Amino acid sequence: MSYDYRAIDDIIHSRVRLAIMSYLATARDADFVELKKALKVTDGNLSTHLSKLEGKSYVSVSKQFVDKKPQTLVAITKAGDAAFKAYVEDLATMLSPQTNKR
Amino acid sequence: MNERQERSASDDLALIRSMMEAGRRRAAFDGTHLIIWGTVLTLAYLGQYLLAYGYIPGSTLWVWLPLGIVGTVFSVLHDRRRCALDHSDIAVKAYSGAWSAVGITMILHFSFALASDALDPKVITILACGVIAAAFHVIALATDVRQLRLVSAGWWAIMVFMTTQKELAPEILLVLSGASALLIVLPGQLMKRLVNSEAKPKSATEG
Repeated sequence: MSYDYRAIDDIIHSRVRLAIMSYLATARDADFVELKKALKVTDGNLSTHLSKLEGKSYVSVSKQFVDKKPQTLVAITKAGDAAFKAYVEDLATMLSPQTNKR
Repeated sequence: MNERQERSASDDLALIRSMMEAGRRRAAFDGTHLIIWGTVLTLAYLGQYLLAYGYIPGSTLWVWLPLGIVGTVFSVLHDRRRCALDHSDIAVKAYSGAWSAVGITMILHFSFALASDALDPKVITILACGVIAAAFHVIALATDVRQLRLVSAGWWAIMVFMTTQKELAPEILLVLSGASALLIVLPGQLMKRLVNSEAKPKSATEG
């Protein structure tokens, strides 16, 4: 069985989006500032990547007020969970010795 | 070979591992449990003090029971959001195990003491301080957060202080209320800040 690299999820494959999904896969949710710190990216960059993930329903973005300050909360969705697991499995397949021999 | 495929292999796996670890640490040690239960204890001891001097009506049970329920509900709601924790992780195990041990010890002692009509405020206070100190010590070792050793030392000191008291005056409740705020709520806030500031893998934007 040969591995088709084109099957890999392009939405998750971007480095920043992959980092977002990996972080949220375990943290489950995070506010915008926390994610920005964790990824060391700019506001605009993070917003752009979150929009793409939100567009595919991999994450949900909600706004709320905490201590009268606006807070943007990002959470991974079930679809995002499934897509991330599939991505990691694809990656593992790509790295498995059997695939490398081919 | 495709360029995209070459970039992915080990770099991507390293990135995934590091970000998942950061997320896991944040989820496990975000300090929320400490803040919830520290606030519960602060208010409960304060309530008991006010009760002892007749500032508020009711009984000890009516101070502790509602606050205990509120704390449990908040903890459960918080845990449901954090369902993806990796409990095979030694640090996560140590954290949840230490606090479960505190809860079980206190509930067992309280139940047996109540059933045998031998509830001694001094004994339960010393026991509470001891198990909390031990829990912080275990977490300090598991997480390598040095400041938590100071918190543990603080609880050991309070425990020793309690043993030197012949009987516990109501003012001791104020000490315990303050200690809960300083040595549980505050470390919770510290862990929140530490975890957020530590989660900074440098590879997210590179490559």
